[in-house]
Amino acid sequence: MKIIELKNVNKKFILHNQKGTVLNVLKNINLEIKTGECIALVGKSGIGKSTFLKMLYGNYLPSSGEINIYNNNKINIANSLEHQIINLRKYFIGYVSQFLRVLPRVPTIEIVSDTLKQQSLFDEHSLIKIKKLLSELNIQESMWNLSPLTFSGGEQQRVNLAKTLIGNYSILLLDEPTASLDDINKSIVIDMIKSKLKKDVTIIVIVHDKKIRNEICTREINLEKYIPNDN
Amino acid sequence: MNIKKIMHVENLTHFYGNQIGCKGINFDLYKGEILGIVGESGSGKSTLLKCLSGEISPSAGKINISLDQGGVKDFLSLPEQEKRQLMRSMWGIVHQNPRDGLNLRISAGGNIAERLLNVSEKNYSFLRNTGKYWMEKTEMDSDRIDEFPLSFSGGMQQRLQISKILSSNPQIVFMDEPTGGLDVSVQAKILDTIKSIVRDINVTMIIVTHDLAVVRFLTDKLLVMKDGIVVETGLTDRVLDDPQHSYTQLLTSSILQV
Repeated sequence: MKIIELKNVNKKFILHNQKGTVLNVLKNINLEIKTGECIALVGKSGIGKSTFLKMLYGNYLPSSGEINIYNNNKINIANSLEHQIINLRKYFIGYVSQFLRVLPRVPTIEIVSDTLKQQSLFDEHSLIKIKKLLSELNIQESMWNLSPLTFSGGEQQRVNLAKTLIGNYSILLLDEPTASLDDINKSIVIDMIKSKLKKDVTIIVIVHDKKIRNEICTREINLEKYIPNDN
Repeated sequence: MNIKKIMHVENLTHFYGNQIGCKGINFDLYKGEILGIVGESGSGKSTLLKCLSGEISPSAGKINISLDQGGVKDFLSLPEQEKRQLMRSMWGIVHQNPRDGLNLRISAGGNIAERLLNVSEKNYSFLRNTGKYWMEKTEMDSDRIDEFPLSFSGGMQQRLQISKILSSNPQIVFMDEPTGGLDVSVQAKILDTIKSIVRDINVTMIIVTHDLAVVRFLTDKLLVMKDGIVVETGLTDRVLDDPQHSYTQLLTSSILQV
């Protein structure tokens, strides 16, 4: 069953305050993604992989075209009311950015709890589940009540992952989820991604390591073919 | 999913003499949404907020409101008395300067109770408990319930004002630069408090500010204003991360990185 569909999607950036420079990034994207697929986005640095992910999340606006998400009904992310997108993000699409972005002062454990609270899934078992996940991701117990903003890069990335992986999303968008992790933590995260796939979660991931791609992905989408000719 | 539209604004325009305050404003606000209005000083954002909250009567345009009771109403053509009653009980306005929103001659508890009395709540112990509850919810020391507002710091006064407004469970809360006069550490704490409250009670809110960090953390959608008109609107993170209009691009690229 298709869960994501891109129709004639184009993306360009117009930099009004930099002499109106136009950057044509991606052109004529037509593709379908089915439930349970694990798609790797590939292509050289700067080609627009993160831009692609951000468009799927509604964070970037396509210059034209449709991005349809099939929940119970079809929602075109490129042309929907804000609360519809927010609702989709709350319950349906999770996104792990390259960098953690949270309010200062909020403890790690609350940041992770918040996802479940938003999804109305927070109950008396949740804290045990959250603590288990944080332990599995090698975040020490002594850090759970601290804000992650002071953590190391790798620790922040793992908190960022925990925050999304704790949730019950049907689609996960992962932007270099293993980039700043050591080998041990890398394989832990890979196992977590695999267990999401077993639950039929659809995953779109940017990951440079070919070995990891071969291990988890069912298909690669090379963005080279969507580079506009005039670049 | 069917979320109720509680405010529909159409072609809202206000002139001060020949001077444009705001012009041709259109948007819809849905229940539980937090709308941010940003722009530099003089962009018309405060004028717009005043038109929406009933403080001034706009020169032209339409505001339809749909409240929990009473169906859809044309706000601007309501009789003055009904408008006042609505503003007292169902609107909540948090002013930039807490002293504009607090009654300085009565205690902290009295300030919170005042709003509730307006919605005909008269049981003394209920009023007192609600006062304490809201003081704690906004991270104040509820033992200070009998103190007067002027004995509190600026940040605490702002918390008290927020308690006062939220305790009566208003259907729309208007905030004008809620963290404007406060220093950075206090600002962050208040934002944190507001954020945790809106998550708990599903309040609908319109916040005016020039601070893009405030809108990023608190709001769902944005109106970007310049010279009295809205130049861009959309999901907050979309507008900030992928701004389309030249003014929004200027605004987002002008933030200093710390």
